[in-house]
Amino acid sequence: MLSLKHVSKSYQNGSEVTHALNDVSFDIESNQVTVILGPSGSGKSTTLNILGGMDRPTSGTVTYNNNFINTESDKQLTDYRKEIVGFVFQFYNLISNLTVFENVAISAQLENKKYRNITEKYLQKVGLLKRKNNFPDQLSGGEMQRVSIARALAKSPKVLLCDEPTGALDTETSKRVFEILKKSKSKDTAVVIVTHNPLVAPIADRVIHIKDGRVDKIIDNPSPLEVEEVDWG
Amino acid sequence: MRFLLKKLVRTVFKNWTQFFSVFLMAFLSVLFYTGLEGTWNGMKQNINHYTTRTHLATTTLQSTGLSENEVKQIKNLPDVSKISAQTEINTTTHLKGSKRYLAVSTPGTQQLSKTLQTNGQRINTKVSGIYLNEKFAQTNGLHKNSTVTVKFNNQPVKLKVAGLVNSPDKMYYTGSNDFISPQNQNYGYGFISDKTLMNKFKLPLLNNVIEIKDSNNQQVEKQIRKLIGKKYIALQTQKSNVGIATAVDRVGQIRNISILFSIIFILLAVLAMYTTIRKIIDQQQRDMATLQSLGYSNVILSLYYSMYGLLVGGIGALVGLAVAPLLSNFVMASQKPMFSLPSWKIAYTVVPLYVALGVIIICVLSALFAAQVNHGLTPAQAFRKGSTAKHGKRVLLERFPAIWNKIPFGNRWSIRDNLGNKVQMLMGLIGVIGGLALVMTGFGTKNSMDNQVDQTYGHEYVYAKKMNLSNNTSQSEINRITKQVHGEKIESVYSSLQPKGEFDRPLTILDSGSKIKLKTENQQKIKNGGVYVAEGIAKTAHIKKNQTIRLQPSFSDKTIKLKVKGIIKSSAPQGIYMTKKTWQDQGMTFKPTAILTSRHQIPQKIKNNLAVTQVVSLKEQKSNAKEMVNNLSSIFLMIQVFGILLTIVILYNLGSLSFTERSRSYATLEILGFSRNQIRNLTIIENLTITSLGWLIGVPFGYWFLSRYVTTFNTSQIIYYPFISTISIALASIIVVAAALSTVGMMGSRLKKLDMIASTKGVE
Ligand SMILES: Nc1ncnc2c1ncn2[C@@H]1O[C@H](COP(=O)(O)OP(=O)(O)O)[C@@H](O)[C@H]1O
Ligand SMILES: [Mg+2]
Repeated sequence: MLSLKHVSKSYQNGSEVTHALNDVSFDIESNQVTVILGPSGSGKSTTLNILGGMDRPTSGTVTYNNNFINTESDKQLTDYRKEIVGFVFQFYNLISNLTVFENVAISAQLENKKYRNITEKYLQKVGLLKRKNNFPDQLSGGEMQRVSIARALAKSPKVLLCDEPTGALDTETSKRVFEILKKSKSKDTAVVIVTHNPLVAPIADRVIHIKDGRVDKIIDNPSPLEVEEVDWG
Repeated sequence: MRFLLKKLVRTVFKNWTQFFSVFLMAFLSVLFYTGLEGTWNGMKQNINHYTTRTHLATTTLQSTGLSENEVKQIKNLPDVSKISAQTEINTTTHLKGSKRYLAVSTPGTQQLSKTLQTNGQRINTKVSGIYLNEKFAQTNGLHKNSTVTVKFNNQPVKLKVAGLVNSPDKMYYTGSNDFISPQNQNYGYGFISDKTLMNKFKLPLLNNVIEIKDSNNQQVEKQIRKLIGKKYIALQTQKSNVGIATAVDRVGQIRNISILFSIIFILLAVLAMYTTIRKIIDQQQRDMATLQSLGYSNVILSLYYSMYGLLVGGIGALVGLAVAPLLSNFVMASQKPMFSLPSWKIAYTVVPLYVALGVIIICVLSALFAAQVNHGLTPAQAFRKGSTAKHGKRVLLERFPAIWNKIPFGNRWSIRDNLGNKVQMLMGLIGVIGGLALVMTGFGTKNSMDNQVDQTYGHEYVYAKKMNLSNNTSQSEINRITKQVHGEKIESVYSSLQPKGEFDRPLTILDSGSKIKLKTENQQKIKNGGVYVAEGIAKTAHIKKNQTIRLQPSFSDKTIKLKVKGIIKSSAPQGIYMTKKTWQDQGMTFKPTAILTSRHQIPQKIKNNLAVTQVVSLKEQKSNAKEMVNNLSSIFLMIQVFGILLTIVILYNLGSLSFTERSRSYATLEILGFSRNQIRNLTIIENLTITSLGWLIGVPFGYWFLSRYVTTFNTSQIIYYPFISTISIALASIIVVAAALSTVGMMGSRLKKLDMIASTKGVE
């Protein structure tokens, strides 16, 4: 449903040019968890940003259900982000002067008038309904990340994009987050997780290995493991 | 928008110190303009209403007295539509133990410059008693039905007070050319009927004051001069008549202040709004990028940030409008002792609404403008901008390693931070410069006016006493008195001035000139062989040195042509001067109107001499002139207070903006082992640098501003030269520097509360 074809991205910094991505092609399917795996600086975030309409490729095409999104106007990209995509960041990016409830609601109300119920439903889902009136700085890192997942899910996205969602969390907390993410896939929703941690790979339906801005290999996994079954080391 | 609005309100509350300055600027600019408009516009309305209702004459002719026939001829002049002939005499009276001067007049037809009783009723022109002007009666404890004995030609006349009145041509009444501000207790005016004048004062109708309504002052002046010749003394227009012009000029003066200062405040509001929103947006880069990634469009986000302007600017403007009547009434009250108006109601035009709207629009626009920083950025770029450290910038100073390498690392950082942030530094400079200029102007305007008083009464007028002479005194009698007091004679009359003189000006003929020491622009004394013109007149009439001008003095049907020998650099009075010899060489007779003496004690015999109508001391004149300055004190004080507020607000805003931005760096420095004192010293050095730089520019700028500003107080009688004492400069500097440094104190207390861990947490 979401596919990259021959995507390259380079950054110009004065006279210096960084080629972050080089001819990258792959597909993302709904009802699947896709893990994008690679070492730091390999171009994972760049890939994710392009998938999410947060950035444009220098060349190549991005299509969502056969619609080109790399050629769209800012307004259409905004709509794409609003209606199709949900983002989860490594450092949560919660808005510090909004409460937990409001942080989720500000996303829910973009799509649905009955944001109140939806917000509570997803806070329930991530197990944080009780903390809804707290401000982000009163939460732990794992809790903040769960709020940020609730925020992304509250828009009922077709693609949930997560950039190093557990990069700042310990193992136990990370497991909880992966469980929630894994449960979020559905026949309407694709889940994409970017990570440098190879231990995550077994839970994925598809693993895309990225190295130096290129796709190294793509491995499909017909029977992914549950989060509990993985040996987290 | 709902949650965005919540975020907005919380951001404003959390950063209230920053927004407070924007609020204050919006508030002050609206308050200042509106407050003063209420006063000047109220005064203007009251004056207009008053002069229309009373049919104020356009010109007033003073003469030595006219026949019924001459009065008729004046009435029939083509440009004259209405006249009212009156007889005015100068009397004295004794009240509350002192001699008082009372100008008594017949009411004329009461068709022009109508005199009204304090209850608004017209006066009875056939009354048997005397109507007294309100302030004179009040200060002397007289009221309706009291009796007062006035003396004319040493003959007492007992009169019953018929009522209290005010005349529209005496809104500002000094009672004597020797004084520039009102002396309500010493000088008054009154009205008696024609019959009373004839029966009790044994005088015929003199018709020496003619109120005229005409359509062309200059034309009428020529025609009247032709008609009455030597009987002509002067023609006063509404512009030259102190009793009217001072009130009208005051409206203009207050209006000038209101416009000038509001503009400054509005400019600073723009600056404060822009920098504040800019900082807020910088701090909220991540929030903005997050909202963008959620699908909020740039348009919505721009609108959202412009709401800051709407909210803060809007509240400021509204509070300004709401509080303005207090200021209007306060300034209005300060004007009451000087002027006699039937109403002191404040009044507004619609302009304050436009000003308020303008301030709000400006705040919204500058917020909108500041919010454009993320425009055109993709969310990914916006994130990067928000999370990566500020682009490091090298500064010019680093090209000089000899100096740079000696600077400690902490200071290097703060120098880079400051020089790299031009808007912020500029804002700090403007705060110091603007504040200093305003405080200096507050002090300096008063200094300039005080200086005018000191110059006039002490450096230019150097007599101790001035004895005014009655106009029918013989030359031999004048000479005798002059000798007795070792005096010096002067003649004060009026004269028209061609070309472009507009109206009759005071002309002074000096006998020897040692008790009135006037100097030209080139520090020359007044000499024989030409005429001298004061700078203010020279400017308005475009008169240059060596130009030939034509004069037509009072009591004469001659026109004299003279070369301008010099422009007199003097504040007041704005007149024409020449020596007795120059005067006599033109075939004119020297008829002294006053004797000046250095003696402080005048023998009682001379005081009682009928030839001497009045003895005025320089000391009285001086303290009277000071009163005029003091009357404006509340306005000067206001300017100073606003100036100080401005400095504190801008500098505090600045400090607090950069503090938030740098708290992470401060915390890092602290973790590295810098002590809090060291960090505080960094902020002090920084603050001192900006303050001293601002001071260096601010002092000359302040003086320039003052020199522009004092000219707005110029009238046709007095012009002001900028002057500021060293003490004032020092005081202004101390105030501004103290205000600037006080913000360091506030920073210090925030530094104490700085939480090392919290400020480094949360962001990679
Ligand atoms: N805005 C940018 N300007 C210049 N170089 C960038 C920019 N963003 C990313 N890069 C470079 O692109 C490469 C890939 O970055 P990124 O996608 O963030 O890697 P990853 O997420 O895999 O760690 C890196 O070498 C990084 O330095
Ligand atoms: Mg990354």
